[in-house]
Amino acid sequence: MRRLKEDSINLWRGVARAPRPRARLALPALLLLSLALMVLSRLDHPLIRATRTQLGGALAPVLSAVMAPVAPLREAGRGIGALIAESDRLERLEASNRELEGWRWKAEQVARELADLKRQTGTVVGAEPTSLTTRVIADASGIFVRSALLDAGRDHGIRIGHPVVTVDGLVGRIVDAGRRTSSVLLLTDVNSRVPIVVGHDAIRAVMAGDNGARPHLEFVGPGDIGEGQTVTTSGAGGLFPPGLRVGRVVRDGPALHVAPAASLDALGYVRVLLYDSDALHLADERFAAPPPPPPRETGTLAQPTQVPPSATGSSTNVRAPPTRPTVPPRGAGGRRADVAR
Amino acid sequence: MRTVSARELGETSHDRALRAAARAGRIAIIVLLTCIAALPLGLPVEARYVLPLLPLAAMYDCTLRRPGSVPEWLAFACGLSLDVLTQGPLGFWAFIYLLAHAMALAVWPLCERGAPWRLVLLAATLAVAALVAWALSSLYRGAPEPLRPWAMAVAWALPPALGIVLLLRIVGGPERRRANMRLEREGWR
Repeated sequence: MRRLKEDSINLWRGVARAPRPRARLALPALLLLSLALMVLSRLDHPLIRATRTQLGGALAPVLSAVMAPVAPLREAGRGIGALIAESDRLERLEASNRELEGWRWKAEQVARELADLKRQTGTVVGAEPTSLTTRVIADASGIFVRSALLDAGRDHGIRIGHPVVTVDGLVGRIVDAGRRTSSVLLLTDVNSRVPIVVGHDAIRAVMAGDNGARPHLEFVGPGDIGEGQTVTTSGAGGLFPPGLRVGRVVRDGPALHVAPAASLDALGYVRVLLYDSDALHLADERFAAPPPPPPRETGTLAQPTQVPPSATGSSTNVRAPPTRPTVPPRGAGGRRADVAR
Repeated sequence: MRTVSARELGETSHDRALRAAARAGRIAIIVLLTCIAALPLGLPVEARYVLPLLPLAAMYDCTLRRPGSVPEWLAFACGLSLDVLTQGPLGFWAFIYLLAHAMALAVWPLCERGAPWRLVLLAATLAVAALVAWALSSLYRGAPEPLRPWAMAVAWALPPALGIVLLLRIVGGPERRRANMRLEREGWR
C-alpha cells in the first residue's frame, strides 16, 4: 500500500457514497432493440425464425450440461413424492390390477378373434412408422406457448409434423426442426388441433388446445360422449397415425375437455414417431423424403396383432413401431449422428 | 476536506482476486437461474410465470448493490436466451430484464435507507415487472391476458427472491467488506 505523503492528519474510515449511477447509452438502445425484436416476432419474420433455430441449437449444449446435475435432483424429488403417496397408490394399484386382469383376459380373446377375422378377410395394414427416443432439454410451457425443445433434429431424421409420444400417450407434434434440436407443440397449446375419436362408438371430433391443462373438444360428431371415455387419434388428415392414445374425456359443465394421458408438465424422454405420410409434405416444405413403401398385405398373419403397451390405443390395429436407439445425451461420450435408421 | 479512495491508497492482488471472484459468482448465479427457468423441471404450468422472475430479482439486487456489476448486455442476453428456449417472442424477457435493470438504477438512492426499504423496493420491482410483462403479453396477443397468474407469480417469487438476495450477499461478502472504503481527513492534530 502506498503511503500517504501528508503527515499529521487524522483519517477515519466511513461508508462510501458513490455518485448516483447513470444509465449508459447501451440501456435505451437495448430496450429499443428488444421492442423491435418483439414486433418482428409478432410479424413472424423469417429472420426471427432463423435466429431462433440457430440460437436454440447453440444453447442446446449448455442446457444439456446444466441438465446433467439437475436430472438426478429431479428424479430424487419425484422419488420422495412417490414415497409419500405410496400407501394410497398401493391400494389403488391393487384394485386396478384386479380389474385389469379381467380386461386382459377379455383383450386376449378379442385379439384372437381379430386375428382370425383378419386372416379370413385379408386385411391390409399400413406401413409401420419407426421411432426415435430423445430427451427434452427445455420446457417452454410458458406464457405464450406450450412446447418443448428436443435434443434431436433433422440430422436424426426428424421432420416438421412428426408425432411425439411418451409411454403414457400423445404429447404433440414437431413444429420446428433445426439440425440438432426440434420443437414440439404440445396438445395443450392454443394452436394445437388433433383429429380424434372418442370411446367405443368412435365419435369423431377435433381436440383443440387452449393453453390450459385440458384441451377441449370441437366439431363433435353425433353420439353421446360420457366422462371417462378414452380418446385416441383418428388418423384423419394424415399427420397422426390412427389409434395413438390421447387421454380421457372430462366434463366441465356443458363443455367437453380431454385430460391428456401423458404428463405434459413433466416430460423427460419422448419418442418421435418418424411417421412419413403425404400430409408431411404440407407441414414441412423442406421435407424431401422418398415416398413411403407400398402397404404390406397381412392376410397371412399367423399371430394376432400385438398392441404395444405404450402410446397406441387398445382399440386399433396399429402395430408396435420398431424403435430406434435412444439419442445419447450430449457430452455422454458419443456422437449422435450415428443413430441407426 | 480531501477524500482518498481505497484504490488510491493501493489495492493488493488479494483484493483484486476477491472482487473478480465475487463478480464471476454473481454472473454465474444469474446465468444459472436463467437456465433453470427454461429447464424441464416437472413443475406445474404456474411455475413458468415464477421462474423467470428469479433471474430478474438477482439482476435487480446486483445492480442495486453495485451499479455496473451486471452489464446491460448480460441482462439482454439472459432475456433473449430465455425467449429462445421458451419459444416466446424474441425480446420479451430481454425487455423485462432491461427494465428491471433500469429500475434498479432509478431507485438506487432509496436503497441507502436500510434493509426494509430494499425489500419493499424488491417487491415493488417484481410487481411492476410482472405488470409490464402482463401488458406486453396482452399487447402481443391482441387480447387481455388473465392477470391472476402474474399476481400469483409475484407472491410465489418473493420468498425465493429473498433467498437469492441472501445468496448474493454471501457471494459478495468478502468484496463488500473491502470495497467502498472512504478515508477522510478529520483535521490537524
